[in-house]
Order: sequence, then C-alpha cells, then structure tokens
Amino acid sequence: MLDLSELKEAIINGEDQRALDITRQALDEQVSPADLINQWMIPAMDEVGRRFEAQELFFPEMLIAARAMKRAMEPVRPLLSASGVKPTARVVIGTVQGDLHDIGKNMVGHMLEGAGFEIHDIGIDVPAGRFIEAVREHDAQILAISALLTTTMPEMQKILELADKSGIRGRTKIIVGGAPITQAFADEIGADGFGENAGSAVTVARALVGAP
Amino acid sequence: MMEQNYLELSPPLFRRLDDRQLARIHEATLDILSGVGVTVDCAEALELLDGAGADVSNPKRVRIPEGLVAKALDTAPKEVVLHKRDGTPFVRLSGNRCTFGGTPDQPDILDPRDGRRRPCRISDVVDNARLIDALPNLTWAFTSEWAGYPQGLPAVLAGKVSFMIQLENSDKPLGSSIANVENLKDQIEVCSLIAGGDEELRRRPFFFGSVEPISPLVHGRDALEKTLVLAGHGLPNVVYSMPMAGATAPATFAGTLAVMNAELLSHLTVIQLKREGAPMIYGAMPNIIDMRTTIYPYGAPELNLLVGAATELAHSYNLPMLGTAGCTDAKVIGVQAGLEVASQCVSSALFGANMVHDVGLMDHATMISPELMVLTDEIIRMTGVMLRSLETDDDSLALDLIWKVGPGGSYLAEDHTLDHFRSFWAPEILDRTRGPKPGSPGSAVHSEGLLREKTLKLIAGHTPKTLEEGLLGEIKKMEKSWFERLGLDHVYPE
Repeated sequence: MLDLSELKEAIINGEDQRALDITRQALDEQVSPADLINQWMIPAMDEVGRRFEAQELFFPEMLIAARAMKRAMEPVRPLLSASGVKPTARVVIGTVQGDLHDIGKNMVGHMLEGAGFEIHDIGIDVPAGRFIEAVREHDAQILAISALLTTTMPEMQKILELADKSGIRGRTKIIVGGAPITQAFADEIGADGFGENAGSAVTVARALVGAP
Repeated sequence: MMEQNYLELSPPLFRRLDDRQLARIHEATLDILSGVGVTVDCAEALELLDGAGADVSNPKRVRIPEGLVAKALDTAPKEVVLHKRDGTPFVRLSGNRCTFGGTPDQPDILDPRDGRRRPCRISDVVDNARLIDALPNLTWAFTSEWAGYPQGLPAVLAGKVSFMIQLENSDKPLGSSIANVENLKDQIEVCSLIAGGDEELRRRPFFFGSVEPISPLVHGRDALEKTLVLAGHGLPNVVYSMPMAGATAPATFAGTLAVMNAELLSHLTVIQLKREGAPMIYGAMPNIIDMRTTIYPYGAPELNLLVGAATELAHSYNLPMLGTAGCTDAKVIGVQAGLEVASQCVSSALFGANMVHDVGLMDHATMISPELMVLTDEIIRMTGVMLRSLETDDDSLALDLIWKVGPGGSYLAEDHTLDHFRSFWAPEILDRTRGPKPGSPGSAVHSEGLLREKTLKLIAGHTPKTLEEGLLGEIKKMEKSWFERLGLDHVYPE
C-alpha cells in the first residue's frame, strides 16, 4: 500500500521527480485526483506557506516546493474534469503600463502557482485594455495588478474603471500590490484585495475565491 | 582638526578585489554587452548606438562592441566638481574622497519630538532640508518624490516640490529622483535661472540628475530620455543600478557585479555618444534579496561588501561613484540602526565611495528620520578619526618629552600635551559620563536623549542662506505653472 504522506513530504522538500513518481503510482492504484490534491498536495503547500511565514523556510525553498507541486499536478490535471473536481482558479497577472518592473509580479505569480492557482502572466508595461482582454481570454477569477512606481499607480485606477465598465467584476476579483501600494490606496480605487507581500497575496486570493 | 566636508583614506590602501579579479569582472561585462545584449527602449538612444556600430537589430538585446565601451570610458570625465547654489566650488568628487548626502522626504517620518511614526508633512520636509543644510558632514542633498504625496499631491508634482523645498532651504548641491523627462526639464529650467543660464549651470553645476536601469540589463524609456536631456545639457547624471543577487542577478557576487557593470557601462556609452565629455556618476547599490522576507535589505553587510566592490570597479575606470550609507531596515533609533549605519559609514570611507547617499532612510526606504541624519553626521565624524594618518615624525614620536618626563611622571601639564590634545575627538551624542551609583538619585545620561536634544535644537535654531528675493519670486512663478498645468491651485497641502 502506497504511503501518500511521502507525496506531502516530497512536495515540502521540493523533490519534483519523487513527487511526480508517487503521484503516477497513486493514480495507477486508483487514488482519486480529488483526494490527491485536497488531502496531500494542498496541505503540503499550506505547510510550506506556514513555515515561510514563521521564517523557517527561505523564499527559494518555497519556490522549489511550488515547482514540485506543479510537476506532481501534470498527470492529475487531465483527470480533474473527468472526476468532476472544480477546475483550479485562474489568475491573470501583469505590471501596469509605463512600469517595467518584473520581479515583484513574478514572486507573486510563483507563490500563487505554488498554492495551486493557474497563472497567466501577461508581462510588464501592459496597457489597461489588455488586462481586461486577458481576463476574458482565460476566464480568470482573479486579476492581479502590480506597480512599483508612484507615478504608474494611477494606471491601476484606470484598469479598475475599465473593469467596471466592461462588466467583468461580477466574476473576477481584482487584487493589487507593489512597493508603494497601501490598503488605503486599494480601498480608494475599489480593488477587492491588497497583498503587502507575495505570501499575503496568496491569503488574499484564497479568501476571495476560496481554495484553488 | 580642521572641519572639512569629505573623508579620505590616504594613501588608499583598502581593497578587496585585486587587479586580476577586476579584469575578470570587466571582461565578463564586455561579454555580456557584446553577447547577451541590453534592452534599449528609446528611439534616439538606439539611433546613437546604431550610428556608432552597435547591433540594434533587436532593441530587446542591443549588443555593444568592446571598442565602443572603451571609447566611452576614455571620454567620460574623471572628476565632477559640485558647486554651491551660488556657484562657488564646494566639493571635488574623484579619487577615494568620500562625501555624504541626506534625504529630506519619504512617505513617513519618525518624529523626533515624540519618537512616533506618522505620514511626512510638507513642514517636515522643510525642517529636514534645513537640517541637511545645518549638518557639516552632509555635503549635498538627494531629494525623493514624497513632499505632499501622503496628503494627496499628485506623484509627478510631489517630486518637484521636494526638490524646490530643498533648493530654497539650503545652498548645498542637490540632486533628486525624477519621475519623468518633463519634470527633469522643469528642474533644469529652475537651476539654470539661478545659475544665470544653461552654460553657467553646466560649468558650475550645483544640480545633478539621476536615472535607474532596471536589473537585469534593461534601460527603460523614461531613464534614457532623462539621460539624453542631462547629457545634452552636460550635467552630472547619477546612474544607479540596484541588482538583487538571487532575484534580478546571479546569487553569486561576481555575476551580480558583472550584470550591474554592464548596465552602467552601456548607459555610459549612450551618454558619451550623446555628448562626449558629459559627466556620469557610477551609481551602484548591488545587494542581496533577503530570502526570508523578499525585501531589499538596506542594512545588509553584503550591501557594504558589494557596494565596496562596485566602488573598486568605478575607481578602476576613474569614474566618480555613488555609494550608500546612513540607512537602516530598523523602525526605531536603537541597536540595529546604530550598528547598520556605523558599519556602512566605515565601509564607504575605507573603499572611498565619492557620493554616499540615503542618509536618514529607515524601514526599507519608507520612512525618514531626522535623528538618524544627526546620528550619521556623528558617525561620519567618528569615521574620520579612524581614517586619520598616523604621523611618525620627531614631534609625533616626542622622544625628547619621553626623556624629560621619564618613568612614573605625568604628561598632563606639558606644553606638548596642550599643543596636541585638541585633536582628540570629542563626541556630541555618544555619552562618556559616569552613570549614577546604585541607590543614588538621578538617572544616567543616554545617547538617545542627547541625539533627540541635538536634533530638535538644530531644527529650531538653524537659518539657511536664502535665495535673493527676485530670484525666489521667479522660481515660485515656475512652480505655480507646474501646478496650473495639472489644473491645481498653487498651494502646498497642510
């Protein structure tokens, strides 16, 4: 009998090949994809998140755990719809027009991906309209917008206004972040959520759409 | 000791990279520039590079040949002289001469009156500008983009207001973070008016601009447009690169330095193509990313080491260099702030960074502390003592005197002592008094209290040199037009 706690351990340790092997074996032994995800994979990433928050793990260690999770998901994804499990929540993420800063957005992307979200990164210097298009294209439940400069922050407001007009706000929650962004600014422009750092972005995203 | 506005380790004996290591980093830099390439997001810069023989077929990866870089290094000025607002020469930036600069504005301030953090107000920026003027070891100012911003002033105006406040409240040289090319042109217009024309300002600059590449290896449009304007005017331009090892550059330090150097030398190439001999200051803040919190840690010892290595690279090119000290990740003035700032000041002086910026910044550059500026001023003086040369001439050896006093005697009342003891350093903030004995009344003097007292005294008591009335009126008119352009009344927020 396969001990699936080893899958959890492999993900926490960032051993991607081992995580993939165990997952394949489990599927061969008819373990349900939903059980694999809900009982082992997501709890593994929850534990990783907890350890990072407690400063027991460093950021790259969390990223390799996320990579192992992603790898283990490969054989599971195609089976999900067949077994009636809710598909993972999709996130469109990008940096506003006029801003070429990449790293903060990438960190949030990695973190959300590690937490099980499906990420569509539309890059930097993204015009407001493109954010809305991408949300439609990917039928995203979350739109995550990044800005590093005070002078590019007003772009966020523009995107929010466009989102209001386009009618996507019913099904898509909008979260904002970046060094100069504050909760007060997020409230002022009417965003649904604000993450102070990559870790809290995950908490906020989960609170908005439930577990991925 | 005579008061002077710079520190200098002479002879410059402190190094961490030998010639062979410097050469390897330089070669790696040339490989990056001619092979990997850099992103150049500006039509005029692309044209200049194309005309000079760079491969611009893909603007995302512009490849710059070695010869072009060598020529730029050859024509770049080896010294920048910063002047006072009235045009008198104030400080030469070259060699391993080390000067420091303060920042008047951040989103928040640590109020010296009650030790509390709160949003920074316009009146605080005025106080801080005057404090920078008052502190003898802060030689210049570097304004940020926050004056009035927490109170609702648009970001593009806030930076210019910070700049104007500093300009009005101190005659020391100043530079600033600049949001976009329009802001830069406005600032140059003001400075030219004060200097008596563009040409006068170029010959006796009291203003320097600043731009940032985006690591790794990206030159954005705003940065290049500002650079071309500054080069066109022949004004000093601090180009500062901030790669984070492990995030926007390799986690190994040589690789991080090579990426940083490639950003700076490609920027220098554009500057020299625009105008041969236009000055660039090699600005370098290579650092690690803190892998626990994912922040850029202003107090990391790795920052000292990496900025030091970058200083050696700048020295190897004979380019003036911008370093970093006087800043901390701490949120209070205490153990962490003191440790981080002291190590940065000593490190900057040993390596010989020419312009050391960020004095007074706390909590990852989100808060300014007047007290930290005053404390850093004290630490700079203290560092200066450690840098003094040790004389070994007859008077210093004082053998005659040692003969005269002999074993068991006293030197206290000797003329030689009277002649020399004044060179001992007397701290103003560090406390050397004896504390009260247990059980006796009275409380111990402490440096935190002395620091607060000195800070408040300087803020209340210092009067800077004012601008001539007519001139002030003229530049206020210019400022009014900036507000009007945005449809706003010319009023600073409370």
